[in-house]
Amino acid sequence: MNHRDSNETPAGGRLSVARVKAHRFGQRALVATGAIALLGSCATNAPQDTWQPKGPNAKMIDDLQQPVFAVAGIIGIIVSVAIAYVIWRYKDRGQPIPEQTHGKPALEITLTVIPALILAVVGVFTFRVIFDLARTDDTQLVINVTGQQWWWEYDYPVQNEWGITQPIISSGQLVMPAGTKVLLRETSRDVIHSYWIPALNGKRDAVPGRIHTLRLEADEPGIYAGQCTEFCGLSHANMRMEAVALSKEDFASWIANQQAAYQTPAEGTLAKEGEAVFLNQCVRCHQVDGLKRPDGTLAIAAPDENVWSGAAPNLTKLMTRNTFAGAMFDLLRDACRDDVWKADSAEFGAKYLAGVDEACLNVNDLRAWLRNAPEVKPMYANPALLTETNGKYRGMPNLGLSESDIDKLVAYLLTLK
Amino acid sequence: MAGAVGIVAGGIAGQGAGLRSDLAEAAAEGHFLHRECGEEKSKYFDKKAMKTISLRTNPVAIVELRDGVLSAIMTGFNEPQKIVSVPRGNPVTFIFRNFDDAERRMVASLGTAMAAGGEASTEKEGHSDSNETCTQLIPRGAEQALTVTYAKPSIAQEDPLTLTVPGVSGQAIEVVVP
Ligand code: HEC
Ligand SMILES: [Cu+2]
Repeated sequence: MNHRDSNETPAGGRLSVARVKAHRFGQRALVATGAIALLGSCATNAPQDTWQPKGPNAKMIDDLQQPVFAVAGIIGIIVSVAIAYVIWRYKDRGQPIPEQTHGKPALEITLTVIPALILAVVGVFTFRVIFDLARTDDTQLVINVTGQQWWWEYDYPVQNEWGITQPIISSGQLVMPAGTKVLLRETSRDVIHSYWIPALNGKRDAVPGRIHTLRLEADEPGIYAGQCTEFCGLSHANMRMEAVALSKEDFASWIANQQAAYQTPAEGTLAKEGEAVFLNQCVRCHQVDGLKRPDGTLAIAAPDENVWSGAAPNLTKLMTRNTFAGAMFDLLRDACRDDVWKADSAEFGAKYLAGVDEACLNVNDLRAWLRNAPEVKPMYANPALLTETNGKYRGMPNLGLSESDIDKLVAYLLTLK
Repeated sequence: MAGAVGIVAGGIAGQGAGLRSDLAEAAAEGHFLHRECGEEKSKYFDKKAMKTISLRTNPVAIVELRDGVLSAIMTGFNEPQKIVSVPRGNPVTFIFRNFDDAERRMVASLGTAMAAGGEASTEKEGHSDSNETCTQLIPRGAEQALTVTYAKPSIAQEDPLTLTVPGVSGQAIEVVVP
């Protein structure tokens, strides 16, 4: 209705020029999208490619989707060619309208039965895969996964057979043993998120109040990238994760180190000063297990009082991870990161277990984060706009730290490994 | 449409039947101000609260009392567990199932370190000063859900956080909050 009305106004002429332009823009956008899709399909470095399964669960899905894709593709081609032929063959060339008939039962029944049969066959295999992927009785290692705006928390329940005698808590990178049936028990602290490591399995929603399970198993040691895949607010696109598979021996070393006691920095070092800044500024949100206040009491974080989701990443072993802030930033400089990512599976474990040291630390991104986190990752952390959340932040706020405090904090954070 | 009318009508009729009137009476008497988490039998008893749990597929753990043994059943663990690990600062739901002949309830200790305002539990109604919360007393074969938020980690607590059943001594499920 608007179009017609506006055409009748004196502005109509200008509008139609605009419409022609819009049309041309649309065409160009379409061509560009097509070209990008085509070129994108040639990418060799595509860590989130669903067509490159790296474990048995993803393989099951792949084995299902390849033939289904082939069948659907062949049918798609037949239908497209038939339509194109009919359009060309029966184009209006001024010929008389042919005799009209109603219905062809034999043809209609055939065209109903054939797709039904195809779908039934696909259905049988699909159901089998669905049930296989839902199995939980063959689990070898359980990891709890909790999503919140905009990062993932992992906690490893006590499992003596893996040497886990006290809970281990981490974020961003899910460390797991290769060749092992790992079961994630997923939930969320705020809105619905979805856990997806394309190389290892399909997606599974993390829903507040519910525990959903997701099987993961990696054939080989390595890093497998993923992405939160349920729109969850401002920084949804920055809510990433990586699954890190280690050999069983390397995983045992990782477990042992995660449970190792806290080492306070030596007196008189910059790191020791950083510990004091941390106690003042950070411990109200971030837990560092074993960290004590000057009076000798354990410092217990209170994210429940400061953060809307009720949690902030546990930083006890920050420098054993390679990423931070929902795997949005690397903790390693590019060269060091490439060294880990491109290591062959025999060397990978040792390189990953080395963690982050001063020479390899991506100090720019970490400093930028400490200087003003909401500037580098969109978060609802503006203190002026927190009435709806009772003054609690979603994400990490800008703490207005001085550069010298940041120096101290970086020195301190480097000791957390 | 007719169905919707039916549901609403049923609801109104059900209310008239007074299933919960004793709960209203209990509230008026201030009954819920002193939470009963021991073996005592409450004067007021919500008998309709059993076998009506819609959370069956997603509790953090199902705690069973069977043949005198208390254990936690969790998806992913093939054996019944004595330790349950739950995320900190997030409501978690346990289901308690009683297979004992006596009427039993499950009690969750909430620890000495609680969130600001002394609230370790999501249940906001006033209750006793002891740091615990519990289900109703339920007969054999019944089940109850209990939702708890543990705001502080286990390391902040003087004693381990537990799930226990009064009258069943020497047994506890430990709740670990990382
Ligand atoms: C008001 C609570 C709050 C305070 C105070 C706070 N942070 Fe954070 N911090 C967060 C939240 C929430 C995140 C997760 C943000 C995300 O990834 O989206 C975070 C993330 C981080 C990360 C990334 C961790 C990871 O594993 O991804 C680091 C490092 C960090 N903060 C350091 C600090 C330091 C150092 C201080 C003290 C100067 C501090 N934070 C103070 C809430 C806080
Ligand atoms: Cu998300």
